[in-house]
Amino acid sequence: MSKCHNLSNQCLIDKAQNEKIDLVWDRYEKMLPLCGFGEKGICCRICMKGPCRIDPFGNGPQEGICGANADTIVARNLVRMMAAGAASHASHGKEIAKTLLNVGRQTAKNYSIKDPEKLKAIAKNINIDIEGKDIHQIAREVAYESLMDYSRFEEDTCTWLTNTITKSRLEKLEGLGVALNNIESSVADIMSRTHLGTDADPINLLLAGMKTSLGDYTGMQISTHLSDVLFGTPEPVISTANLGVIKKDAVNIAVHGHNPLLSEIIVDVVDELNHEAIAAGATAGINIVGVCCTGNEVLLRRGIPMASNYLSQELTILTGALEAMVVDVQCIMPSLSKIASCYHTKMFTTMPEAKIPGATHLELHDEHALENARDIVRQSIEAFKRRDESKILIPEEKSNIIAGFSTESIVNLLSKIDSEKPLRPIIDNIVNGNIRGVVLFAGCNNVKVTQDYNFVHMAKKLLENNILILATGCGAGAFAKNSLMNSEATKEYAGESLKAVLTLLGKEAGLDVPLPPILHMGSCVDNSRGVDLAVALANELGVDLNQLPLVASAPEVMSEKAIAIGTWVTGLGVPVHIGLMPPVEGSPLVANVLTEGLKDVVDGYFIVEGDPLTAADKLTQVIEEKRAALNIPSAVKEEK
Amino acid sequence: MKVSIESKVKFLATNPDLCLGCRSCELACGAGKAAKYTPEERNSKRPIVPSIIVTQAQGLNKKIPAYCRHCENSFCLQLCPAKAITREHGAVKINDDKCTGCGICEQGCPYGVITMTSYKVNERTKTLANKCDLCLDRQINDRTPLCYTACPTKAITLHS
Repeated sequence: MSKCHNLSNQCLIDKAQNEKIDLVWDRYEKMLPLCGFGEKGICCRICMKGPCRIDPFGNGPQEGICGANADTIVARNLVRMMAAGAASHASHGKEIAKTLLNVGRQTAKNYSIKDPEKLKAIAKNINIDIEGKDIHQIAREVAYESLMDYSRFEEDTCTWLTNTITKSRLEKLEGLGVALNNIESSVADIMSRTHLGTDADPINLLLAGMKTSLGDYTGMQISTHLSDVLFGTPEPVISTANLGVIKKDAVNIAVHGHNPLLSEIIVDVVDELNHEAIAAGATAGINIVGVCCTGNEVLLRRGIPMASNYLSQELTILTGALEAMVVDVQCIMPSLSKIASCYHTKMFTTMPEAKIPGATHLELHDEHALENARDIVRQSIEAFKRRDESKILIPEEKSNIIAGFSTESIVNLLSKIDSEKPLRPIIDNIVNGNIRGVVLFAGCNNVKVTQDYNFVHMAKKLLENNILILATGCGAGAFAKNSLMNSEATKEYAGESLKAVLTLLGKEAGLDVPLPPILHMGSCVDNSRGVDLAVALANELGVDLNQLPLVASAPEVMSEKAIAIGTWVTGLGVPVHIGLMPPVEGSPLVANVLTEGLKDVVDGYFIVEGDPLTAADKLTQVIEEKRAALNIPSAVKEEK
Repeated sequence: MKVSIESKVKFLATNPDLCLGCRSCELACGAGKAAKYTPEERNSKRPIVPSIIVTQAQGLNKKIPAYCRHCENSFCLQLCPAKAITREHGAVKINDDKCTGCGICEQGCPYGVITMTSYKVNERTKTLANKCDLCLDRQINDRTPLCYTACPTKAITLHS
């Protein structure tokens, strides 16, 4: 199995081998064989009587020491993963909301409201009266109302859940008792009910998991939209992606992680220090590049080029031309600091809850943010002087991309065609079958799959079938790096009718070229943008989300966040494909609920399929069935 | 009736279909070896290498424990120039005092389950071959081999 689908990265993998540096793939090989109890979810480490393991073949123990069986253990472990995912997205959103509150109080001197119109739109959407109020007061009220979603003790459903999904969906979730009132208490509830000797009913556990996953969703909505208020709502932007964006004659600084609060500050101070970099001999000045979702955030809002998605993050340092790796939270391999120590690269951690041994810690969210950001950039310029020219190897390949497709920017684009009903062109083309349906790609890279292989192969097949693709997170990174987010990709891969639609839309929207066949909607917290678009379409059509010819896919799924996202997507009624089996095989009951039973309760369900081409066929089939159910032209119907 | 030691010593067999790759067998084997090391061996950090190794081929979703078969016409026993390998109660066993660390047994083993380990004693490097002895010391006291005892799914079985 090759390591990366993108072959330009291979020279750095070889370089690592020559330099005896272990990369994620080497560590994976050394870890084999992986423990099957963990893989199947039947290892319980919740109390100290154990750890306990259930024998899935029936010869050994069928119950843990306390009597919990495989179903209970698998369900407990799984919902704890969901809670961890929800906690991470929720605290991301909370940091943003707190910053907005401080901007409203005029105590956060490093941040401002860059999109006041969006702030007003949000206020209107969450029923805050803005008449006669100044922008700072609106900011305070919006932030306060958002923070209530983290602290409410009344039983009212979270504001950002209530106001962002279809009415019928909300009723369904409330009817099931999973429409939560408080994100953080949903996480605490999971930790408490999975404590030894509490909830042992797998179904009850899974329902609680759905509730906390909807907390993940609520936190994401807050993250995305309040970030837009503080940093601007993304507009279509042209940039480049892949390791070739690292420049030989520049001071290269990578921003990596998830939270735009930090990366935006770094981007802000670059201009004022550019001359210092040039004076140090870096003729191209300072070059900021993005990694993972921080990369997506600054790509969408600032057009900063994207160097790498999750699995190849270590390779950015292997280029020998990276002066600094600045990280915030989530998806940061601790190996980075060790690899940086083999080079002149400086590694900086910036959040109090995410320190890494070997890295320099300089916080970027407090009152010293600006001076610390300048310090980081200056230390990077110093590091540039220590570069070892003989160790530099930068792959040449980089792809042109068009990114920045927020729901607002899509609607703006389309309103040039139909200002009254901007979504009409999309809906018309879905109804007449020029666009068969939509797949939202999200999620991670996983070392168990050749990096980006599943994303690229599924996408090509779906595009051929005239299915439009939206992408976020490391999925978006995969498409950006592999030349699937530009107009050429539309010409090369989109089926005839999809190509015609994208060309027409591109032309009528005032661009000279077709829209890309895969629309980059942002980082993994921006899956909320995909939902917003789907909800807008559903409301326009007068249907619920589960009726839309829409599916989601995370073909290289890895993190706890992805498990939480996948779960709430099913909760919103949308089928989710995952390319790897989550740790549930040890309980056929739980596995069945996720892939079958869930359908009867919330309409959404999981499809597990490792082969990308088979997966593309299965998703196409689901889309055609949904079309048939809507009585619009469908391949399923035609066959009958 | 008196039972001879030979007749009660059991050999290992495995069923890879039941192996989950948890490596409990490796841990138990290694821990058992370490417990028998002399203080001198411990001080000089003699490596602990389990004699049963769970392997997984890349891309093949199957875990296979590799272990010594105690072959009838053992290559290792026949090839050892120092006569350090003998058969005891049916088990093929390495005598550490005689082993010169030449590595010929490792090369001769068709199952790849003999490993060479080195450590320093009084500034000199000592190399020893390392393999399964069926936990003879346990078996003659009516106790089962450690790997078998540790396997949670009964992927390891014993036979005569």
